Amino acid sequence: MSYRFARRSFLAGIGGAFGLAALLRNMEAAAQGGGPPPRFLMMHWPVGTIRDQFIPTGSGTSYTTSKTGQGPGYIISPFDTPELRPHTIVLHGFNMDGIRGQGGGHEDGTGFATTGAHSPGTRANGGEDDDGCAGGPSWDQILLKNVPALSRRNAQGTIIGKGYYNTICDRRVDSYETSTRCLSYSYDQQTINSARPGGAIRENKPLLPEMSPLSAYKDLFSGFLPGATITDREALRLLKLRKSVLDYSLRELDRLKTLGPASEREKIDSHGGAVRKLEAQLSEQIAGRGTTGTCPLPLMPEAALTGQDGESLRGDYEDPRVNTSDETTHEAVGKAHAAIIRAAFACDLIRVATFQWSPGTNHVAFKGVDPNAPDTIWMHHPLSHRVTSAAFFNGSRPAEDAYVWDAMVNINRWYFQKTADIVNELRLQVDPQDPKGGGLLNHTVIPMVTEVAEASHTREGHAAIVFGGGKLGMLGGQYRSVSGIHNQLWVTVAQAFLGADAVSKLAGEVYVKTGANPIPGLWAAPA
Amino acid sequence: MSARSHIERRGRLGGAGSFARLAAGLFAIGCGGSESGAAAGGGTSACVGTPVVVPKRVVRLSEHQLFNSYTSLFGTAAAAEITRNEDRPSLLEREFPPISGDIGVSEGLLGKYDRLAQSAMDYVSQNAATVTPCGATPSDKACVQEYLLSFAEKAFRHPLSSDEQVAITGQLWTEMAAAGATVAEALGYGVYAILSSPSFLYRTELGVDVAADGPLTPHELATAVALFLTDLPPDDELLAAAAANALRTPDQVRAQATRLLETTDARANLESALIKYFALTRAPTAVLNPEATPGLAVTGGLQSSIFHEGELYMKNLLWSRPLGDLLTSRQTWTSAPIATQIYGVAAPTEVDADGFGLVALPDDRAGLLTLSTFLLAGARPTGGSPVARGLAVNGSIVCEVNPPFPEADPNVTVAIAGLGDKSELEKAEYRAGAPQCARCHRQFDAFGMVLEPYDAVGRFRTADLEGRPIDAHWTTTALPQSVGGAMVTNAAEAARALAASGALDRCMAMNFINYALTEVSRGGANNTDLARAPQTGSCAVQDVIHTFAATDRSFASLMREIAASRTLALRSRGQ
Repeated sequence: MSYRFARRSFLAGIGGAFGLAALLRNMEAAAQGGGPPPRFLMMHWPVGTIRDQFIPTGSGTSYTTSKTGQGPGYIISPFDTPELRPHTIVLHGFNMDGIRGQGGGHEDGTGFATTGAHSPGTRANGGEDDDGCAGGPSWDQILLKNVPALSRRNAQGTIIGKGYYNTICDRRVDSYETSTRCLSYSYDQQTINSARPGGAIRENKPLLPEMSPLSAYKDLFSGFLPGATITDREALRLLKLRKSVLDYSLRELDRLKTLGPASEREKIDSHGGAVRKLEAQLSEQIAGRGTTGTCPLPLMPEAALTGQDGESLRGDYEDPRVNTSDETTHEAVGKAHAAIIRAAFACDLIRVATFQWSPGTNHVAFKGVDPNAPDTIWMHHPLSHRVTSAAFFNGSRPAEDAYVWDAMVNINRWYFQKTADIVNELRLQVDPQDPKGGGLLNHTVIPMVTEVAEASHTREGHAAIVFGGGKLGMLGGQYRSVSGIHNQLWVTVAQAFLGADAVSKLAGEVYVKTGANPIPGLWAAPA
Repeated sequence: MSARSHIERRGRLGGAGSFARLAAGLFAIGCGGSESGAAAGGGTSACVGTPVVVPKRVVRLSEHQLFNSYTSLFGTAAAAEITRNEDRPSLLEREFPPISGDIGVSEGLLGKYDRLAQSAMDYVSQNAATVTPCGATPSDKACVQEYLLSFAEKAFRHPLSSDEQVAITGQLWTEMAAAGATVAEALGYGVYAILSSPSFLYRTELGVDVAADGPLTPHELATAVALFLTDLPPDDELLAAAAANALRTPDQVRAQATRLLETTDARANLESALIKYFALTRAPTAVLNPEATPGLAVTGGLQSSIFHEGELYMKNLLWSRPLGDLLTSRQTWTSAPIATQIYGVAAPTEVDADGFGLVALPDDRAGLLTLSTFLLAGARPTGGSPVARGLAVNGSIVCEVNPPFPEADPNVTVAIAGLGDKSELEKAEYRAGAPQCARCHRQFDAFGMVLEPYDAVGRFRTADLEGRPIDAHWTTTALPQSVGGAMVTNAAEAARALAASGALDRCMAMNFINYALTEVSRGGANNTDLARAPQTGSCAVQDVIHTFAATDRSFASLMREIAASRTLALRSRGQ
């Protein structure tokens, strides 16, 4: 199928449900041996882990997990399958020493985990005063900026299309905090009122995730063109008309910027940046350099499929039991978001995304996680606060309050089982950009982090997992006990995108660098 | 854009400089500094800061305001058609203040706004004959351009400057024509462009001179007042007042606010804001274990009725009674099941179509805190919690900053574990005597304990779920010093003491000033220097309370005083 033939036949078939596309510049590049683009997906699971059940027996490539019941590695056993193990690196032992902030355990921890930067303080949000702010961009944004291949850009350097997308499956938190329900932070900063230290401070702007899969679908896949059947020339004409609208918006934003105070320019520029991405995508399409010819569109999710929101739920700590469990909906929302991200990667709409199951201060409820009370439904984070001892969560199964320990183990394993399903779908999804027909996972690196080591909020002994990226050099199939700063995870992963000299290429970034060296043996330059 | 449009009208207004001087005399900036004395028109004392809490800025419309703007521009039926594919936020789903987090137009919001604007384009194109005077398939360029300019003026909420006019009929039109648009298509894409414009998506608070302290322009103030009170863009009468420069003085603004507060839109907006503020929206969906309400099956229908009682309570009290009556009213508007099964009084004799009517509450009850709707909204599956209730009152009635739960303090964990089977009275007495607990709990425990005789749905009881007697020992307590420290013996006395302390007035003033400001990332009515004064000790709050004191002290009057306040009208120079 020639370039021109494929382009015309695709355009003739467009039904308005998906953006107009010329043929792939990328398909051409792939046909010439350029290979598929890299992708980056940051994932998060809440409330840390239970060390005794996370760490497997053995290490390196020879580790074993307990698959049938509690034992070493029980929590990570969903990843220990013939299909996923080769694509999985399990890590335990990081700390966040040396990263400073004034927020709470989960609140600062989420920002520390994804930005690796000191926090300037906490946000005055009308609730508690421990809502940590970000002092630097998150690693998805760092890599998006520093790795040209993680985005499509026009000749002016503007990202074409959205560039990235952030999702979350449930947004319930304790007290109006933003920090626990956001993984992604921009390079752009804004001035806000702080609770600590007080007064105005500068924070890196949170790039809030979308909870509704339907909204995510619309944001990523809704077409630019009205109507149904259209011709080539007609399609181009309508694209140009739409571009004229966006250009008008940009001119008006520029005019507003001249009229307003300097302090408002960030806000206006941020809006303008979003418009420019759309405008760049249209310009590319008009110029005949489009997105993708063939890729699987996900089913449009139902509007009712979404997580729950809630911002003032402190009362749940007195009794974390509820009458209704959330895991069915929670799983369904997660799968829907994952399907959308997977399709967006496959269709090359974005190459960077984040996926958060729920905040570290979540109120997601699970049934039967206490094996001695199978009908009891517990809220995850509120239950975790029934005990506040690090030794409890880091030790073996206790004699007292064992139900709390068991529940934390089982909930963590639930999250990992559902994550394994998602990663496996990425493995099975054929990468349309790969002329060899390999799976998406081969060129997608998926670091999965958590905001605390365990429920008592210590910052010693953090776990993390890295999936995928085998064709980018990640050496899966390992468990490694590590020590030192959590940022080692990021610079290790960065090698997959920036090569062996990733650290030097990131010298200008603000993450805490002391002790942040790549972990040997987890990456090797691909052949 | 607004600034230039008014500078360009210099002839009528007498010049930007004279306008600023005139306005400065009428809405005076500065309350005499931080802690001393009165300011022109203010008369505050011992307040912290200045009533001018926000610098010059641009503020995006909240999602409610955006959808309401579509309704205002196109009419209810057409707007419903245009917005049918997007999630329209419920009137009861709002934040306090309306915008936090995403203070600008993020990529996510841009996607939604873009889809709405395209939908409007489609609607106008398909209904040109009824929406415009240019016919079903417009071909008259002048007619379409005139329509677009008129539409833009309405969408942007101010007369267009010459720059704004040229932007639409000049470069935009030229580019559309170059792309091959017919006149009919230019109509649709013109509407799309106007609804994508920052002049529609944001409102400005720039005044005449962004580099100087000063008032909002008349149209900016009209928009701010309208969105605050009604969540809608300014109506024709308010726009006419702005055009006539008849919003210069607080009394002129008060007159418009009085008019708006009589409208259904304003009342629905503010009633729902207050319902959300008190979290009453949780009542219909609160989960209760059957054991929490022995002898009463709490069905979904009952919960919905309980919520509706809250709606009627707000509707009937806010607009004609002093604000304090929210806490002290001895009446409610409720259904027969609630009256007889929860309050233990006779069913209402005269009821509306839904079966709700006026009843008198028993002697032990007074006001919102003893209503079923408030108690159910804060209930846990296992029943009411004095700590949760205490925190709710402390935060939403007194506006004290609730202390965070001491997650990392092992002493607290040990204490909680040791109290497992104790009664709530025993737990409260322990907390009062244990320093690690008392330093926080003395701020709010009393509020919760006076409500302990009411179960999860508000039924009065003389024993807890374990059969332990609940008597006067449980409810005889000293209220926190934040509200005067009075000794009370029951919830009704506590409610009257709360009302008399003025805490509710100040708390409502603070929160609704922030609501009026829409987003407070750059400053709000809260005092953040808590070492010197509580949250409600800011000059912004004290300014409003001072003028409010000379009114009938109703909720409507409070909203009117906020609308006419210096905090809403004035901005410090842009930074």
